Amino acid sequence: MTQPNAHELLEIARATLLEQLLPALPGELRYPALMIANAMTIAARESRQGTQAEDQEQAQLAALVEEAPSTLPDMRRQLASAIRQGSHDAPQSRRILVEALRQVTLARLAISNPKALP
Amino acid sequence: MSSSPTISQASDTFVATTDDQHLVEFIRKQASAARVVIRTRKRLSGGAIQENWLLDLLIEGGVWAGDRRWVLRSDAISALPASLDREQEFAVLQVAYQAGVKVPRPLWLCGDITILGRSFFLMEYVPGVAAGRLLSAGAGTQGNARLAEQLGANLARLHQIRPPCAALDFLSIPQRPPALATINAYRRYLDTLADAYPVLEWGLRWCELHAPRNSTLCLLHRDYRTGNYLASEQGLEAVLDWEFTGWGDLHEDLGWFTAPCWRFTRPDLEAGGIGKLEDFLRGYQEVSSLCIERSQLHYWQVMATLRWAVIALQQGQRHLSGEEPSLELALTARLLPELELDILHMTGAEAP
Repeated sequence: MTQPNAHELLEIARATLLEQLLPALPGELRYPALMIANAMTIAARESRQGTQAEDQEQAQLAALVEEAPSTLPDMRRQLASAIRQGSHDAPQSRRILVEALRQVTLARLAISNPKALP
Repeated sequence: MSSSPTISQASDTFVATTDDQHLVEFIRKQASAARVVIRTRKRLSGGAIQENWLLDLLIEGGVWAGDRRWVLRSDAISALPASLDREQEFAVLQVAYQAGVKVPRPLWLCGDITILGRSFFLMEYVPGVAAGRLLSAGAGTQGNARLAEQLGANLARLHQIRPPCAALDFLSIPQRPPALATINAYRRYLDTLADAYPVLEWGLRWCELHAPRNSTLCLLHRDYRTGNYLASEQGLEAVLDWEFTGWGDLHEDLGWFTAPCWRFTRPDLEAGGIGKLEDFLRGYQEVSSLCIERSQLHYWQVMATLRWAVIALQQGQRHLSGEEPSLELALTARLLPELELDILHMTGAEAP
């Protein structure tokens, strides 16, 4: 991959936006500029952590579904359908499900908004 | 139902498409005035669904004579299918106003589209702060007890309106129990998406298993939360944004108001990030004799979080489909993990 990589480019682009452009922008463009900076920082984190988060999700979900399908979207679909049918209602099963989903969600939150992590 | 102020710049569409004389003449007739002058007008922010214009008027003759500040509210170009049109919203506003709910006083509806190109209504302008972050940041360590109490009492007044109501015959009565009808609607929506959402499925399953058997149907605001009312030093001034009103279980509004996702900078203040839950409920029960059960409140907080998650997905779809490319909509969809974590927290091992 050519250097600097995706997250390095996004980080310097974001710093340039916040340090050089933002102070020169009129007030009504402040909010859109901050939204752009936020989108860039999410994209940078996803570029850095996204693959690992998906690998972990795949491992978590594989333990919850029978005859795990090969792709992550298929696993999510199978799990969602099993949940809707009540396959995870029993207390023990529910505890395992909620804990696994919590791990998956924490990894996603670490990308979307780490400030909101507990 | 926009979670944050819209960024669209004040456009000149109103000016460009309006023949001032038609509007002036409409106001003059309704106010039985001799003469009406529009001194200034300004587009107000907030609301991707409607356009709101602040009008500074001089009225000569009739009961409204003098300087008047009124708000003109019209449909925007892109309307959400779930929301009421302006004619219906005006009817809701009138019913709420007559029931003693704090709302901007509704004045006149104009369904004649030759005047502005779309329906609109006029209401009195109410000053105050609506921004959720500002209100929660200024709530003080113990929260704003008076505002919380007023918000509770005000909601209870709204909830005293029960079906049937001839003026609101366009609102459908939900199937009983309303919670199950909502769960089914969310599942149908999730089934239209390419991806699956196990956390939301779990939340919906939990809600199905815990659905309340009995419920009292009443008129709901359905977006009663910090950010959708105006407050001043005196407390509550007016409740805004009535386009999602409908019949439902009263706990739905209570759950929406108190859900963790609507507490802005103060997650510790359960009443909308501005006050303590007991202050809010005390206000409610000063007006209403209905008993609010904690388990019901918890249940509808889970439903509120699911609803917000579904709306976030819908906002994301509006962007992704190319229907309305928007950074704000795209970022709204990225709120999902926070909402999912709330759902898991409320329905996990320690949950009832």
